[in-house]
Amino acid sequence: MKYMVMEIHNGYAVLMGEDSSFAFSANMGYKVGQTVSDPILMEKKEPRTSRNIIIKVAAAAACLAIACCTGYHLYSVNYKTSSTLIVSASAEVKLYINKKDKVISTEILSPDGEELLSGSDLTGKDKNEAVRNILELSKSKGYISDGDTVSVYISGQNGSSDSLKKELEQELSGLSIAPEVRSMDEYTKPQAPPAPAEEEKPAVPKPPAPGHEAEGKAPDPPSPEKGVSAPEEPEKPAEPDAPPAPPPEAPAAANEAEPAAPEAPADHDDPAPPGEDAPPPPPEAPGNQPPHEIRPPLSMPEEKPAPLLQENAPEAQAADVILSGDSPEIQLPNDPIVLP
Amino acid sequence: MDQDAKQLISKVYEAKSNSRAADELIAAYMPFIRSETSKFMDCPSRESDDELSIAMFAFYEAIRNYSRLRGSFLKFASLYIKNRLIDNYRKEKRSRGIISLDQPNNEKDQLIDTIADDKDEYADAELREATQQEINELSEQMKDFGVSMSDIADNSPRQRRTLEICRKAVRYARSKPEILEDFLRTKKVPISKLAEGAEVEKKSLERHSRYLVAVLLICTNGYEIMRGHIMQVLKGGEQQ
Repeated sequence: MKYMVMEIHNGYAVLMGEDSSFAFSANMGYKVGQTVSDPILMEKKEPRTSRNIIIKVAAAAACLAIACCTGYHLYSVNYKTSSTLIVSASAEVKLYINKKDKVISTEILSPDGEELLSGSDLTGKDKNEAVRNILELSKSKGYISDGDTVSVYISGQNGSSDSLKKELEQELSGLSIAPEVRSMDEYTKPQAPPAPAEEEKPAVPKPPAPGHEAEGKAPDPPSPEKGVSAPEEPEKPAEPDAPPAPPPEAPAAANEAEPAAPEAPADHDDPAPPGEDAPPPPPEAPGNQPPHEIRPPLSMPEEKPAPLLQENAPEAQAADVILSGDSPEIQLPNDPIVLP
Repeated sequence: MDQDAKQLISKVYEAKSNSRAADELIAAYMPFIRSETSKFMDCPSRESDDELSIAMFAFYEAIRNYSRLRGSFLKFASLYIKNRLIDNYRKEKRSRGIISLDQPNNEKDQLIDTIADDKDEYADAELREATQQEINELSEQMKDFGVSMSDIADNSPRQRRTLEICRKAVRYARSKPEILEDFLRTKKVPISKLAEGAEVEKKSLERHSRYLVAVLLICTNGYEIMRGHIMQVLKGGEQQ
């Protein structure tokens, strides 16, 4: 483009271009009216206005937002668990799967699983391939054999169970193992092996209670002592004999008195000495039982079983029958036992 | 900051908007500019050197772009001069191997004298003189409108889109002689009429009103050479 020199100064010249624009340029010995080409023009820098700053900040924010969105998308596609899959052979393994049907991580749900997967890494494999690998390993290590059915539980969004079943059947066609695809809701955790009997305690006689009639027990007289029954407080067998609690107003009120029972010793004026001449009275008929006489906790007799058996053999026998539940018929003692 | 530096900064700020003050400042700091140029060239600079002209222009650029936040003005100007000279050096490097026509051929003649010249020097000189006369007239007329050539260069649109908006307005004004007459009579740019008639944004025209003064004046009678210079762009409107 050609420029016409419009004005000259010591250090610069004003030029008019053919596109009707005006510009400053270096004065390379120009004269007014001269036409020049390829001058050294001034580079005008944009002044720092608030508008420019806002535009720059907005551009930076937009870049950040795009970066965040891209990062989140990559995360959700590659690293976020979209579904889980449990292969329940003898050894149970849980697979966390992303949207691309690749295994992100594995979780071993049974002790055999640890041995099964030792030395093999399923991360990054396709879910079908991972299931196949697990089943191959299970087969090679003898957890399953040909013709077995293996349950596969799936949850999440990666396809329906039907399509997964088809895929798995196709994948496992060479293994002669039938996959049974189920929803994760149907999955039940493997039962833990029974814990060693570290807290085994002697059988605690269970007092008859009106509410327990439905459990197949013999009909018992309504007992207000239900609140101090031993099974509910097994850790307090060494406490002194339960003092008689305040007489219940009605059998139905026994349950309401339940929380107040442990506090009874503090309120009682004459607590019985622990373990001394306090055999547990047998249950009595509601009509005959004096309201203030409450049978002591049934766990207490274990400290002094001998006197109980010797002194009140029939009653103790009857109580024993009640507690063990061997006999459907419960013989109640005829005479009330009066505590000393 | 000592007194001299403060005085220099105040002169720089005055020179930003006043072309005469800028000329004076450049003249006052010619030894500095010369010294910076010599440092770059590794030899004393002469008046005829392109590098010196570029260094003076860089000094003027430094005046226009300086701010107090940038620190010492002379260091700032020195940086500008150095950068401009480096740019020029790179540009020249690309065309190395090309012989200048002004290069001396022998003791008496230059290389250009050996080439047959079909240009009519007299005609060219006459044309330049006529152009100069037109430009002087335009400068005088522009004073009535309160604008100078430096103001117009300052106010000229940089973006192609804005330049096209202004051109559209000028084309519309050329098609309506009464608008140009109005403009000359009132000495005001009829921005509303131009914006309405050319269907362009009024704000864009307002932002470049001083530039429009110069172009509209060129489009009036009497400035045929300058009008011919920019006609290639403006004739697009005539065809429409």
